[in-house]
Amino acid sequence: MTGLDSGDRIDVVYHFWKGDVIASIKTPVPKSSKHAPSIVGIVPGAILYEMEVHDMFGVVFDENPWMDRRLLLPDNYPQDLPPPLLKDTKPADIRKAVGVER
Amino acid sequence: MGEPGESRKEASAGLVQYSTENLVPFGPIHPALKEPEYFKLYLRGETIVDVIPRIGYVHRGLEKAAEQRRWTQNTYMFERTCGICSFAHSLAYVQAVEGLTTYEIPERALYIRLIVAELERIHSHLLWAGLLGHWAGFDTLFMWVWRDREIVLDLVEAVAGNRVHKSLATIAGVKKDIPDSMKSKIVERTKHLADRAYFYKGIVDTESTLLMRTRKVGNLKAETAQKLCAVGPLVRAAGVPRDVRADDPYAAYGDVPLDVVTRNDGDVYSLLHVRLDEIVTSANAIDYALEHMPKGPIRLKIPPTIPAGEYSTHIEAPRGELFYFVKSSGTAIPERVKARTPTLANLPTALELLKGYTMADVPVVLTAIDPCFGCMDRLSFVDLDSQKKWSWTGEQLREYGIKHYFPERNA
Repeated sequence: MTGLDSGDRIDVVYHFWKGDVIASIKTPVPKSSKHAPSIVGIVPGAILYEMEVHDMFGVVFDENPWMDRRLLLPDNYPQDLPPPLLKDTKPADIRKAVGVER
Repeated sequence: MGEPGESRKEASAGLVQYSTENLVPFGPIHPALKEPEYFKLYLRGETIVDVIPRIGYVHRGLEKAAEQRRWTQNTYMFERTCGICSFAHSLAYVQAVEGLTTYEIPERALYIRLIVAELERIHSHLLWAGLLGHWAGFDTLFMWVWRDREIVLDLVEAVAGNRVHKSLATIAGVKKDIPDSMKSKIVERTKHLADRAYFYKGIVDTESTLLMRTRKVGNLKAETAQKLCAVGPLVRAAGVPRDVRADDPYAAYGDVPLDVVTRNDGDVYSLLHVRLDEIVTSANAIDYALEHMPKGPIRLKIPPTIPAGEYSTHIEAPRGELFYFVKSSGTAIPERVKARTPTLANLPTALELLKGYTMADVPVVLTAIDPCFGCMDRLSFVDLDSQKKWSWTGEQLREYGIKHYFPERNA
């Protein structure tokens, strides 16, 4: 599962592989709402991938039971700083925010 | 153990509230370990009811960093994602980048990629078998296996010039050739390693310590494994013949005969057998590839820019399916690179496997998915009945596991 910053929307790309079929399905999530349905009910193994996209792009997957916590981001990553993998977020800002400014 | 999800639901009904009331703030994980992860284990008496992971302690923001670096620079950066399957990472990355282009990769380079990837697999599986011996309280296996691991590391050094980060894969080729004079040395050593793998299989079947700690521990059903998207040896030990090398051949895997090793029980004992058997199949694949390697160039000269587009690829890393996605906007710098490592894919399965087992099984079951062993250090325990909380280091937990099974022994 991949997140992509495409300007005014975030594209969430789902990669599936079963038997002989490999499928990549791109789902646009507008940056204004940032809500997307969760697929954990159908693919239980997707729970951590959704958490990763949530951490890195701020997309909220409704019905994912673990949306209330962080998987990868450090605890001191500020709430008001945009998620790190958005193009607007500059690496220098992240370094300053988590206190590792060089 | 019941249905997956059922125990989690039952546990979280009372636990979500409990955990917010009693959040144990743990500081940075042990600095000496490479890849720390943090699991909160919820116990009822001795039995594990629920596990909550918190990873990311060594998240270095590689995917963000990739967006500031050139395509070639990224090859070496992604190689540093992992110190064990380093070649797998660079191989998956260059394969994804090559997918955006129309270059004809030289045949010889594809064979060299296969040989190094298989050497790395032997290395990784030996390392894992040794660690499992250590965590199960059978250090003799650890000593023996890690001595043999030196042989394969020396081979890697002879081929690539480096022991850990091979720096061999590059976009549209490989950087170093394998001279004919080296072939006999490689074949001789890999044969020796295959013999050793058979020897270890004998030990695994007869040594009571290992049988006791690994048989019927972490029983993974094929259905559960598929539902939770497990990959690699873990899913093959549960009886699902899924292997990217055979199902969707990359590099030179289409030309080299390769058996997919499976077992049916899905326990740690089956995993040991799958991994030891894979050492043998890897050794055979290396021999075959060395013999049939075509002559010719090993790399192409390419411009620094990569055509615009999106491409995803997957390869079979030692630990399972490794997935890379790249997006290019036609410049010398990638727009987005995404890596999905096999340990992340196997984590939900490991969490599910732990439920219903005792604390003494934690090291063995967690090692079974072959995470980088940092996850064993610093576990926090919460006893639901007495509401007591405490934490152990990996070493204390290992001693506890050995005492639980062999009360008469000293760890």
